[in-house]
Amino acid sequence: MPPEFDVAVVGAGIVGASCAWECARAGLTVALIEPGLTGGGATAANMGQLVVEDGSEPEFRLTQYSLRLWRDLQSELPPEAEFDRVGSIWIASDEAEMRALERKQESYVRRGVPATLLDSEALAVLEPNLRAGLAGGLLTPDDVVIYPPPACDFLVGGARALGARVFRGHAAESIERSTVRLTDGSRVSARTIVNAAGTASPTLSPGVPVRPRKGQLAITDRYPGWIHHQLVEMGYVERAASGSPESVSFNLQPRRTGQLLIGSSRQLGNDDPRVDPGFLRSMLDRALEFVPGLSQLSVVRTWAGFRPASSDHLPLIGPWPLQDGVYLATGHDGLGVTMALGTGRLLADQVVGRTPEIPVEPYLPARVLGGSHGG
Amino acid sequence: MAAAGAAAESGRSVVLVDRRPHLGGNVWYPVAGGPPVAEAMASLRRLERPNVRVVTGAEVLDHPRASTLLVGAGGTAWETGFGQLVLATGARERFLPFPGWTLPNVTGAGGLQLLAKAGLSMKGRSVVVAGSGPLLLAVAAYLREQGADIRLVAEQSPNWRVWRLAVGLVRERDRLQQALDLRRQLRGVPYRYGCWVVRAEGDGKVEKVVLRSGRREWTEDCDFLACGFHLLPNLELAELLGCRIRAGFVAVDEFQGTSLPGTYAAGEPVGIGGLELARLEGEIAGLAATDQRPRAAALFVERRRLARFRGALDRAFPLNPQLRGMVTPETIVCRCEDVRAEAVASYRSGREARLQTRCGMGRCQGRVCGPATEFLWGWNPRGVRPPIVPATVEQLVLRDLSNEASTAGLER
Amino acid sequence: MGAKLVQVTIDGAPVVVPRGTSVAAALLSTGLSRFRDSVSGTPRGPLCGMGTCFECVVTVDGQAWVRSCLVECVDGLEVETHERAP
Repeated sequence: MPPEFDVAVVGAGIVGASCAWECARAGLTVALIEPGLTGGGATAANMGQLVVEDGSEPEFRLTQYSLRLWRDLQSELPPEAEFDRVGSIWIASDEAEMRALERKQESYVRRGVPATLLDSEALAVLEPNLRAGLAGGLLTPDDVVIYPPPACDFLVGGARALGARVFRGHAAESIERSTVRLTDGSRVSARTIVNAAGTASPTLSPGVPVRPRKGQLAITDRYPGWIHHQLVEMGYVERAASGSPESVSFNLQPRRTGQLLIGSSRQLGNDDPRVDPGFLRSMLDRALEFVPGLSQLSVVRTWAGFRPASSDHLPLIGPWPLQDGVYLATGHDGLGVTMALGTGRLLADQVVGRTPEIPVEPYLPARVLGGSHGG
Repeated sequence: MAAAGAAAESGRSVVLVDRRPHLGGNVWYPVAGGPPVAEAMASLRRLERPNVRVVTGAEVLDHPRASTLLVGAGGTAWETGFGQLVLATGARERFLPFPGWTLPNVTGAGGLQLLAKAGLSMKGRSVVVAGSGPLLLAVAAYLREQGADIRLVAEQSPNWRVWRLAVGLVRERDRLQQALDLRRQLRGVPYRYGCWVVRAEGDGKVEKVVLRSGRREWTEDCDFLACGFHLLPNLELAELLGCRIRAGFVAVDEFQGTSLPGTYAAGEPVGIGGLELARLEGEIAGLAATDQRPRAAALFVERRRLARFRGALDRAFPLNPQLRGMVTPETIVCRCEDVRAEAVASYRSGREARLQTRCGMGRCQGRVCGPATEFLWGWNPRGVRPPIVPATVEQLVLRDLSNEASTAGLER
Repeated sequence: MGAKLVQVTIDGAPVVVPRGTSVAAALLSTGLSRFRDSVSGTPRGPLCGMGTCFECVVTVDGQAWVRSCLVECVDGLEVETHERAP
């Protein structure tokens, strides 16, 4: 019996939804499998940032590529997705961080990403609620904020309109040779299976090095105009990359509603969905170091989510050598929304054999398996 | 107050935390600037002991670790440890959406009574009281006493159900007397059964309401529409702590003990059953929490008698499914985020509607739209996360631990 | 002010009310019914009267989103409604 679908995508978070849509656009028949709500996992919990990150060359290429695709899609996204080009300001607390910002600016400008250095006066003019005495900042005006669940819904809708079938309500339990078995006993057969299950991807593809990296966020009531750009501390880069399993850093985002989204925290390997009060306190405390006036703002909600973190800060996009016919599209850590569109494109490129627009080698899953699997 | 008073007699240190500026809850709240309500005096006197600390204008924000609560008041917050905990978080009204329900001067039934007690003059103001439950009569009588012109009391339940309740009350002399007193105080005020508001209208505030009874529709002019559909238990703190909830109320044993050792619950969170029952349960809980179990057990018989009323209320005032028909596609369902019925009706679950439309993500944390959408579409309101009431960053961060409020924290 | 009355400021104008009056009741007693505008611009006023619904929120002494039904008027309290919302 021939497989029912060309492609079965497991997981309808924003990455899976993007993969489903791109495969459908490439003319393939697609099944999309999701146990809960589309976009109900990490997609629902995250900050919705679309930013160009330059932690490494491959990270830069993929975020830049993907951001370009988001901009191209902007006019079609529903208003609920709240696509807002608010820009980001990276903040330097001291001269050492300012030097790092200068290097960052050079690297961005060299690659065609607009980035302007701000001295402490210019910073204060742009963001009066930042405390005095900061060294300066780097403005990247093209960064965007979206509200991800409706964007994810839009991608699923796009896939559906092209004939994709969505299987909702039951989780994928196992993958055996062109067949995804669901928890209710039913089966979906496909020539190619894409594991886009985020933190659940190792369950379906044993050995995939993805672990949950818990994050917590708090959102305030409405204070329109309190800040104008997304604000991130330069120290974030060190804290996030340091390999330390737990850290908080300052990250503040203005939403279209006028609410402020306060982040961010990282706890690797923690799968407790409850908000950790100690961590919340550290995160808010860190924020007060930059925006002391935040202390008077009302917090209406806090929540926790789990980033699917890979072992080397790069997502896994491509064939998974340990399972025939299985591709991975997972391990995006905190950049899942940013990288979703680029990931969908690269994944579809590989499935149909198109030349990708950016080199795909750095993201190939084979890299984590050592020499014998090539790649 | 009953729980704190009973617990205080043990000599243990007791803290009573209340959200409002004064004690009394919904029923015994004092009139603005006035003395405590006469019926509350005895309870208040019991709290005048040196081992009792009353903290008003304060709310529990979080339960950060075992035996610890984060309490917020006046822009600050502090952590307080506890040995035993009694939850007496009371009830709130259920509001159901209908066109015009968001107009200013459309309030809850109990809501308007509370506003009147807090200093709003009702002299000469015309009021339509609507919705469901015995609260409507009490509210109408109170407002009339304050000089309001009560145009109508509209009870959605059909008359045969309400009369059956009255008949059942024959055995309860006090309650029957209460009901008859209320009817007397409302002589001349039309009381309609099987009747509800289909629309509120006005320019910038309510000016008239359209009512329906059977097939008849008519309009009443009014300054205020006081409309509420029964009471709902305030369960957020119990849920935050992890108490077992059964059939929409906190599950308790005969000593008012919840599923968590050392945590008790009394009053509406355990079941909607009126003031006397709530007070007695509070007494039992306070005694049980302070090793005064024999005295607590002595109250079980009385509690059984009062609890009979609880089931009778449910049977007398079930919500008519036709009330769902009040909602039109343009009717706002989530007041905090202005989400209209048409925007959410297509979603299969509350969570999905929430993620896609923000319905329930506002500052009331789903307390209004949760019960409304549960009635309309069967959505289950989701669990709680801290802070269980909006709190400032300063309150959540507890940075300045040298402030007076925190050092006034208590010993077990 | 005498022991029985207090003076607060509402949208810049002085208002005298009996001591113990809630800010919500004080606002209503001036004839004001529109405490604020909702996110889509519809007028709103108190609903539940008990601090649950957050419809009655106004700015009190510079702090936004304060439930006026839970605050008692005291001498010198400053209240801003939608007229002067931040």
